[in-house]
Amino acid sequence: MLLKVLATYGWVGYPVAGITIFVSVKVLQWRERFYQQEMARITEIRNKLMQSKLELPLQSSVEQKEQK
Amino acid sequence: MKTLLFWCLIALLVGLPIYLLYWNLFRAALIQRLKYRMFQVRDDLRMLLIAGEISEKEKAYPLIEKFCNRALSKMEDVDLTNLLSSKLDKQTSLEVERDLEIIFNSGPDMRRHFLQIAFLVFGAAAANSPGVLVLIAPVIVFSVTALWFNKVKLWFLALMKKAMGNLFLKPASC
Repeated sequence: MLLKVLATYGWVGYPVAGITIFVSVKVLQWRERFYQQEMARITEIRNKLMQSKLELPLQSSVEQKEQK
Repeated sequence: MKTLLFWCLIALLVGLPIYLLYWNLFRAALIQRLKYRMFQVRDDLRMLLIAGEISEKEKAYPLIEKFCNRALSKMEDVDLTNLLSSKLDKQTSLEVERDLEIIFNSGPDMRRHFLQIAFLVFGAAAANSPGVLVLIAPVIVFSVTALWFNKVKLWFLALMKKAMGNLFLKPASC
């Protein structure tokens, strides 16, 4: 009985292994893609915040010079 | 009988890679994705505050921020049975009602962010309990299609209240 199971799984196992590997690769690609998206989003937010931080004193110094 | 046993063993062998793939790879990636979405919601909320689109005196903001942080810390291991099985005590139930009223009476941005957080938490819970999901999926489909929608909506609101109480407010879950 077990021999028959193993023999059948020997044939069924190939497509199962193939599908499993294919799905694993797809999941890993998906994970990598959304990780890159998240990194891009964080960088964008950081740049936005840094820009607003840096621009405020520069603008005020220019305005001060213009006022003088 | 022997044929049944044979096919059961074959199904077991075929199901094993699916089981391992789901719990070791797909679920981890899905939870990570939901966490990133939650970070995005929280960042959006903070940016709204920085930009002045939300008042600093907004009562709903600290509540939503707290829910968000709590959800982030619990996302890895929260499941549907955790959320919905235990009963709420009177105090927690009243607190949930009060908080929900504050949130749903706030601006549209706040409501939208809160609903996103709630959906993400339910998504994580569903990802962590696929077995329960498979069992209750026919009940949900039947409820939505056969019963009238208002009753299902009320039922979902009650479930949401229970889940919020269990996840965010119940002292025992701290």
